[in-house]
Amino acid sequence: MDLTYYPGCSLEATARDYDESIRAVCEALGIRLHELIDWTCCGATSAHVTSDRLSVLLPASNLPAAEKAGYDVLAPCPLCFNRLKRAQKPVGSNVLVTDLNSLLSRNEVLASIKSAKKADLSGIKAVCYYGCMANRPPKALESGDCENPVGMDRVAEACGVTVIDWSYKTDCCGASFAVSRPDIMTTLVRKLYDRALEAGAGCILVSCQMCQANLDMYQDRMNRDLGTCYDIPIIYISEIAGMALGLEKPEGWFKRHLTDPMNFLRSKGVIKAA
Amino acid sequence: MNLENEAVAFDTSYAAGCAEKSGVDIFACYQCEKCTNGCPLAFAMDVMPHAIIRMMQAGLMDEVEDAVTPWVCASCETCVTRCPNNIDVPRLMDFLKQEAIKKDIEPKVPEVAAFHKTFMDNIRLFGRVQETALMGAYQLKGIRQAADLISAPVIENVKLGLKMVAKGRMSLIPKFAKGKSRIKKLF
Repeated sequence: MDLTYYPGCSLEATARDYDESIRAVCEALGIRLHELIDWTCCGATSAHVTSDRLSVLLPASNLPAAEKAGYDVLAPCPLCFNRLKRAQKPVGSNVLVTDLNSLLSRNEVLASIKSAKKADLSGIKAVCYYGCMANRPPKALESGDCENPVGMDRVAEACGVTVIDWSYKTDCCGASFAVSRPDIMTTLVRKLYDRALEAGAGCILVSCQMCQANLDMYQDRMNRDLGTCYDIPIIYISEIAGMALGLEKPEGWFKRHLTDPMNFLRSKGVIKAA
Repeated sequence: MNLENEAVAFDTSYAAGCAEKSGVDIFACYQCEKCTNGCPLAFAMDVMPHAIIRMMQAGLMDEVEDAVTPWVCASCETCVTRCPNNIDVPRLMDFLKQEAIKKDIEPKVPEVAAFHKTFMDNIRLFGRVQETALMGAYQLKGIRQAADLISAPVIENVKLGLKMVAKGRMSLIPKFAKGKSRIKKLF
C-alpha cells in the first residue's frame, strides 16, 4: 500500500516519537509513506478561531499536491486530519484523507499485525483515549462511531494488549488550554487519569499528539502542586504496534516521554529488565 | 415585575444579523440543553451554552459580549454532534470571538486571544508551526516589566522547555518550510 503522508507540525518537533513510530510500523507492515511535498501548517484551532477564510485556505493549500500524488492521505495528527477533511468540500477535493486508527484498523492491516506479531503484550492493561478531533463532528468527518469509537481498541487488541472499556474515550483533555489556561486543562486531565485508574488501566493509549503531550507532560507538576501521585504512561498506539511487531526502536521513542513508561513496561514483562 | 402576565417583546435583529453572518441557525434552538449537559468546559463558563443562544435570540448583545463562555470553548465539537437541530455551537463561539476582535472589545480571557494571535503569526513567519518559537513568543507577550522574566510561571515554563529540549522533543533552531511563500499570500 502507498500513502501520501502529512505529518503536521508537531510530529516534526514535540511528537517526533509519534512520527518515528508511525514510519517504523508502516515500513514493517509494508505500507509505503510518501511525505507530501512542501506541506504547510493546517492552521489548527487558532485558524478557525480567528479567521473563517484561513481555516479553509491553510489546509486546502496542501490538497492540490495530494491530489497530484494520487494516493490516499494519512494525517496522523487528529487536528490536521479534521482541518484537511473539512477543507475538502469547500474547495472540491476528493482525495481520501484518513486518520491513523482508521488506517490501522482496516481488516487487512489488522490481519498483517496479527500475523507479524512477535512480542507478548498481554501484561499491559490499557484504556484507549481518542480525544475530540478524529471523530467529531461526525458528519463532516464521515465518522460512524463518534460516541464510542473502537478503531484503536481493535488495533490494541490485535497487538495483544488487554484493552479495558471505559466511558471517557472522547472526553476533551483541554490541550488547547495547556499553555493559556493550565487551570482548566488540569481539571479535565485529572478526571481522565482518575477514571482510567478506576477502570483498572495501568496506562492510557492515545493517537493524538496533543492529548499525549497534555496527559504526559504535567504529571510531575500536578503531583507537586496538588499532592497527587500520578505516574501513568501515555503511550501512542503506534508505539504499542512497534513493540508488538518486535521492532528494535521502541526504547528510543519512550526516552522522549516525560512520564517514563520503561518501569511500567519492564514490570509487565514487555521490555526486558536492564 | 411579574413576567408571567406580560408580553415580552424580543428584538430579533441582533440574532438575525449573527445568524446571517455566521451561517448558524440561532432560531432553531428550543432549549433542550443537550449542548450544556455534554459540555466538558461548562465548569469554566459563566453563561451556559444554551443560555448564550437564548440571550442571542432575545437580543441581549451586551450580555453576550460580556460572557467568558466563547473564550473557554475548546471546540471539542461535542455539542454540535449531539444537537437535535444541528446548531453549530462551536462555530457560533468562534463567530463571537471573531466579532469581539473586530469590534476591538477586550477579550474576556486575554491569554486565549494572545495564544491564537501568536500561533497565527508563527504560521505566517515559518509556514509550519515552530513550537519552541511559539512558546517563547507567547511567554514574551506576557512580559510587562523585567521582574516578570523571573516570575514563577515563566521560570516553570522555561524549565519545562529545557526538559523538552533535553528529551529531544523541542529544537532551539527554527526551520522555515519551503511552502511558506505559497501560504504567505493567503494572510
